[in-house]
Amino acid sequence: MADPRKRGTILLVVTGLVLTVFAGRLVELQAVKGETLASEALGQRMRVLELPAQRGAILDNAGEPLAVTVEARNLTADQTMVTDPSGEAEQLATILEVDADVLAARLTGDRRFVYLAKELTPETWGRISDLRLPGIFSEETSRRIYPAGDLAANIVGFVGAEGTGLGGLEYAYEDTLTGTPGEMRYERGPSGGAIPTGAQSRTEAQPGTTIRLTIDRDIQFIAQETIAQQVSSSRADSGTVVVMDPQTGDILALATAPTFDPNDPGSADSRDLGNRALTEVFEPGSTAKLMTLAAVVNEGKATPYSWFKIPPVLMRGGEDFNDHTPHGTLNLTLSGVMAKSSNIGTILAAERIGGRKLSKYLKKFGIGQKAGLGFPGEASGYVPAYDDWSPTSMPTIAFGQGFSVNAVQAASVFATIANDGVRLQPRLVDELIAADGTASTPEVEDPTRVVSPETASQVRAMLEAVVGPGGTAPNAAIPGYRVGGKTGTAQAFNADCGCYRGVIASFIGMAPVDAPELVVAVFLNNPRVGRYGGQLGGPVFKRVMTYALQARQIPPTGARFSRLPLGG
Amino acid sequence: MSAAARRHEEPEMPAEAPEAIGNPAGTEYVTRGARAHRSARPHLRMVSPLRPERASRGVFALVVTSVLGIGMLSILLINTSLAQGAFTIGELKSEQSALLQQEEALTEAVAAVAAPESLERQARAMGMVPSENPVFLDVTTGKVLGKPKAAPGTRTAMPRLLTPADATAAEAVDNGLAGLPVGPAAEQDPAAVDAAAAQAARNQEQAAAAKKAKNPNAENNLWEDATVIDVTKDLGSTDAGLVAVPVP
Repeated sequence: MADPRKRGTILLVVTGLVLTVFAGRLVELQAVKGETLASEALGQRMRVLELPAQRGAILDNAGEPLAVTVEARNLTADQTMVTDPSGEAEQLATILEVDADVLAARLTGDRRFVYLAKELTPETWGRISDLRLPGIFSEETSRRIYPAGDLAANIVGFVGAEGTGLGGLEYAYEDTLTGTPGEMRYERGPSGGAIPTGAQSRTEAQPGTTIRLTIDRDIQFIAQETIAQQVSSSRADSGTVVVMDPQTGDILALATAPTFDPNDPGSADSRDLGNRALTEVFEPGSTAKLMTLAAVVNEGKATPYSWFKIPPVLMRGGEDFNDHTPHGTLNLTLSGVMAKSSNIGTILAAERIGGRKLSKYLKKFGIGQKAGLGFPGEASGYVPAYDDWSPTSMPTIAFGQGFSVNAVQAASVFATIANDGVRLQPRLVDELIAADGTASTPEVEDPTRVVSPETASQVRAMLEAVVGPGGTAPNAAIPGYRVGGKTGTAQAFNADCGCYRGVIASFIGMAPVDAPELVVAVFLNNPRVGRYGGQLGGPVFKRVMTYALQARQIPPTGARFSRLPLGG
Repeated sequence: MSAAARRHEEPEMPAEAPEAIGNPAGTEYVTRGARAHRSARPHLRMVSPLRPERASRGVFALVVTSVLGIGMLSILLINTSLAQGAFTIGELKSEQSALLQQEEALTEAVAAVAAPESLERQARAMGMVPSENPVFLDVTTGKVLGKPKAAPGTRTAMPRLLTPADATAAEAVDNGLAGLPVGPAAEQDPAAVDAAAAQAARNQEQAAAAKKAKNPNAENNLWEDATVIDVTKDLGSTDAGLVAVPVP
């Protein structure tokens, strides 16, 4: 290598090669991978922050909150930053009211992220943050609260730990209530703050839709409190109250007992978490006589004044049918059959129209079809098709056994009579109010006429006889008002034994009976103290109806009471 | 840089000095050319250079530097103000969220107190009972609809009802928040609030005294003969009209 010229050539070649490599690399970085690398670099600076969407609220018909979402904080810790676990745990424990040792254990270790507590109120977090404890952080979250506690809990439902609906309308309307989360993108400087000149974009979260119910929380409260008292004093398994506005189909209250606290659904019996008024079906018993007798009157086969000769026992399809109290041969009017709740009289009346027509009327009253409230687990009830009827079907179905309904369906039958014979689909959700304020009303089925207005009016007069002297529910009467209703004491089918055990005591009524504005239905499942619908359901009906009449400002009509001849 | 600038300018004067093209020392050529054509020219004079070269460069540098300086300074200022703005946004946002949280907490507290269950508890604590028979008064005809009946339960002396002003004032004192804007009622003159409260107390005392004078034995039967209430008498004497006075 002594030749300087050769050396120069080699140097030139080597330099050339190196430069070529450099140039190639440059082209690769800039032209080939340029965009990818630039976006990777941006990705390192860019932070994407999800902006959680606020879950829609659930309101009562006056806009009072039944379920709302509020801000909350989850308390987190970076164990590597915690200097004095036991000391910090001590301070946190006094604020969080938990065991300091448990906290100390969660603060010890080398995990960078652990949860210490969830869903703290902002104030609690404020107090903790003021302590300036090293390694203690928080993350923003939200908390679903039910300000009125167990009020309407069985309708509203509850949410799980993740904030998603697990029961009731919270579950049924999950997609509607959940909004669309937004996001914020920004370039982050080394200090953690946003770089002012950096790229920024912000997509606002779209809050969920708010649901306004038809429920009146004051009536709901009274209904819930009253049925809870009656369930405990009659030692029943459960109880239900339905309050409806027959002119709109609006359900004003849907109370069940026992209930649960949606703020703490975990501690409740899982059977109490649903809504018995919608999910549980039962054989309606005597309250269903209303349908049979309305059908007979509507077909022109009898009037409230038609006389029936009631034998002590009636044999049909090889079986003996009798009334709840033994009697000799009675002469009762159709009104008397209703007032005294005679099974035999009802069978005799039903035979005037026949089974096929009866089954048609049941269908028109909505039996065997879902009430259409969109509630999870809503039952449709069951009524056998006419072609499958056995010889005993017709007499049994006539007085309300051998088919099943839920509480809302049973109340809806009375609402139809109260609404002059026109059946309206019951409503539970009044309006869906989107985040931008636009409201939409869920669609309902068209109203259907079941019986004529004249029939409805005559049947209502017969219902009034039930709460009058000689009827089965004089204790449901409200002084000053014309009230009508029907008692029911149905044998309850028990799925555990596959047999009939216990009863469902019920009373369904309306007021004012000459121009009904409210329907109240009361059901008590398997009472052990007391048995009859009038005796157990009557007082509950009276208390709830009395309150509802005042709350809805419905004065007495002032009309005279009708006094139909009952016979005896 | 300055050389390039000169070259650009030279073509503008070709008619005067065609020979000078490309020569930086243009003066000499002009002089020499003149001598060649007109040999007898009496005196020569110095032509000033086409441009004051040195001075031009200095000014230019100054201008550029100051432009640069001003630019840097304004970028600094803009950045500072942006950063300041970011801080302000941050501060305002945290203030906003604190206020939102406060609002939420207060709304939550109100909702809990206003829930039917809590209202009923408070009403019962005041000795109220649910009405068992709805009765309405038709204002146009004066007719009573429904059957009036005394409420069940034992009669108790009517607790002194509070006017909204009283309640707000009392609550404000309870919470140690006196003087803070807790609600519209608090905007009233405290003296007027006191006066209203005093007036309310006086009204009740007077009514009780009158009652006693008429029927000294019926200390507690305030409702006994209160079926007719002369609404014209006391309405308007207090702002809220919430002072219920059984009239003898």
